[in-house]
Amino acid sequence: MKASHKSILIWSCIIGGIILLLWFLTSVGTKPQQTEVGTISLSQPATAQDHSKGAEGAAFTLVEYSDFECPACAARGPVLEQLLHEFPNDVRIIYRHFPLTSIHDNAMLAAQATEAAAIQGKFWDMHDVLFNTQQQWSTEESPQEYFTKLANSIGLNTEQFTTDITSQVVENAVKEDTKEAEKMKLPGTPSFFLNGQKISFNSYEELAALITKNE
Amino acid sequence: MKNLQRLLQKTNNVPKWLPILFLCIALFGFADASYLTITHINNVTLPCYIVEGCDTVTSSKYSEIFGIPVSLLGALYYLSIIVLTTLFLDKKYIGAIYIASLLTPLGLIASAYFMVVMFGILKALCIYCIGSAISSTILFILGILYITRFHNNNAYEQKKEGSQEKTQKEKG
Repeated sequence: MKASHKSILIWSCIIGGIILLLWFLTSVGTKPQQTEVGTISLSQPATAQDHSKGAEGAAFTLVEYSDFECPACAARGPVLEQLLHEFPNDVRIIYRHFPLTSIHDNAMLAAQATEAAAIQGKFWDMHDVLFNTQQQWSTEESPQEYFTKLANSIGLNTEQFTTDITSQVVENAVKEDTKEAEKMKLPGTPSFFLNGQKISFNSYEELAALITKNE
Repeated sequence: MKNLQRLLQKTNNVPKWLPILFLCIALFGFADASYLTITHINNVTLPCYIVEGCDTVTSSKYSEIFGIPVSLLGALYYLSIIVLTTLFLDKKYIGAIYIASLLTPLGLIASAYFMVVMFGILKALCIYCIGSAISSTILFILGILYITRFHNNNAYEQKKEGSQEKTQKEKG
């Protein structure tokens, strides 16, 4: 083979390879990895004990298994808020705990913090403030002090909060949700169920489409 | 000037597996860093999996420097190694593989820093970052191997060739 031909061959292989590689990575990297869906259905239907937001008796119930230390869960917050805003009469959102304790050291205590806040009727306030400050407390060695500060900021009785956060009742409430999640073999968080069927979506538009399609 | 001429000299004294392995590892690193850059730019938050963890690392404040995603810098680093190694495979310029080898400590230092941030500060796992750290470490080892084993051999060979020419000239 002539040297010039060899050069052309080498360079076109490399440049072509790189272009193909980038094209492939762009198509994969634009969407989050999809987990297997459709095969899992919700084992425990919505009950009165669940923490819910939105219209009672709504046609659509969205159950979320989530972890306060998971960045992807925090990122979904605005999407869910928008859903409630756009469909005020049709959607109810339920939050259930699935702290991934194997990778998140503070997730369990954060979940307990919301349950402790729930005793004083402020589950969702704690839910919001925990997600908003995730980066501040997720690397703390012992985050309880920080959680107490948050409790104070949303107007909780901090003394009661401090007692409740580590109480058996609160711990059991988190563990019960987690047990259900493990029973369904959920691969991670966030995991969503729309009227009992597992769904996944990448944007508000995709989620809203699932609602309007079934309306 | 002499040094530049030296870099443009050609050599057949480097075993073929070395640049080819160099190229493969750099391609792997490039794919890895590009994927991180693409997901970073698209602001895709990957879900958290029990086994694999999540993207705490890639969405942290350490993932950018002066607003530039560090993974983009990584991708450019691997790309420069790919270009230099391909140039070597094509034209056999000593300088191409020599400069690529000299670049590898940069990759190693950057990777070491990010591993410290990941395990020491963020205490989170990022599989793709570890992938990049492994490839930059291998590149560093290959770079050192080239400089210590083969680059000096080339120099020695040229010296010998030079002196042979000299003696031939003298004889002539």
